[in-house]
Amino acid sequence: MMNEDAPNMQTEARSESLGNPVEISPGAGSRPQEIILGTAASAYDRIESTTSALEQTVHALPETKRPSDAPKHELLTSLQRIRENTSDRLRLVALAGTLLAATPTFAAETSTDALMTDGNVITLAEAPTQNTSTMLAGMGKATFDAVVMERIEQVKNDAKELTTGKDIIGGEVSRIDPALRLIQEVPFIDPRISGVASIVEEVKGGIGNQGQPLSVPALHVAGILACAQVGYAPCLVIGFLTDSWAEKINRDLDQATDANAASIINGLYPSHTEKMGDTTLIRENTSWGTTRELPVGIFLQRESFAPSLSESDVKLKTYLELMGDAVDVEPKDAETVAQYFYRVTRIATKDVGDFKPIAKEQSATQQNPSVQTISE
Amino acid sequence: MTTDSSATQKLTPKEVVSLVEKRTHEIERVAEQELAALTASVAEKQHHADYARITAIQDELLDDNGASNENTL
Repeated sequence: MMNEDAPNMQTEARSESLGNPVEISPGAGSRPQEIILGTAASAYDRIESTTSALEQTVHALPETKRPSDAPKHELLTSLQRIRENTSDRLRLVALAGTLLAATPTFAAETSTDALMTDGNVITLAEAPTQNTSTMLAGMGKATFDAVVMERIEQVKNDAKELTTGKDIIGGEVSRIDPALRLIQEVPFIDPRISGVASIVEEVKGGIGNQGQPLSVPALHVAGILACAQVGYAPCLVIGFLTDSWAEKINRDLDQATDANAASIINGLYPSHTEKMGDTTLIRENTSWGTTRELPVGIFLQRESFAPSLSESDVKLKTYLELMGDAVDVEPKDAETVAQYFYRVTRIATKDVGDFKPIAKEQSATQQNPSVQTISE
Repeated sequence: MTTDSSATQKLTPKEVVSLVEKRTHEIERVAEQELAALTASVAEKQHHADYARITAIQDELLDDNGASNENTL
């Protein structure tokens, strides 16, 4: 189980520009993950120190009237750009490295790409129209929103297609219904805020009210939507959801006869021949297959449409905490998945609380009134 | 996912750490270069500001001297 109170880092760095102070930490860390985080934190500290000092100097400068002098605001803007770009890159390298160090066999594919790409931290070789490097290199909020909405549209379309046509898991098409319902019901008025409450309720209600986890597609979509709506990296949720789902798939396959095993596998790989980069989310997520290894690969791949990390709404601290969870936690059941999802959502909406699965007769709002507040 | 064979190699944790350190240093170096360029701009601006301030003080002193001379005369 994840430890809510003890993130995986024990060192301290500070990021005034990113909002809350950042707590990372070298610690006694002998584990590769700790070394990596310590390296990133130290580098960040050094750059931050230089940047801050220069920033103070600029502030103290009088404006001169010489046309050749850069105005102070331009200098400050440049400083901020350097600071943000640097922290983005450092944290992504740390992310990729941490995952890679923790899971050297399965994260290698995408993480190695991430680490070895020159110029930009992550570039997907087969990304279709959206180039990761472009997205990560200072994409504005409006652009990000547009990209997110585009991806949501893709999810919608895929969900419709899957609902109407595909039998992805042993004929249980109904599993997709909650996903489609979520997609249809979630308002997209404010892509960062609205709908989060209903998604949280859906997830919690799915456990508490029905005694069953939500369908995995529903969780996928919920995760994607929630993350998109709060400006979070969808990969964080998907990695866990797919991990859990992979267990389910493995169980199904263990119990399957040869005939329906083939059916299951065919269902799992509906776009097997398509390039991964050209497939849409749900298709990709139905093709992690029988391995427990792919989720983290997907985790990193999802960076391709993650929000611009240069925007301060994704806090380094949160990001690294989640990274720590991603490395250390392997959800064994749906509740753990939901707990994680809940936590991500709450963190992303800046209201972190303990996860309490609601009782059958309780509504999510009764259980946690602040959930309702999120959508208001 | 990529099929690039170079990207599918397995790395030991030690190699990963080394890779991360290398990439981190690269990132840091780029940032330092950018900051150095910016520092030069700031220094130039500071120089101009200092020069303007000194010139203003000199002018003020000259004015004071002029007034003093007038008084003397």
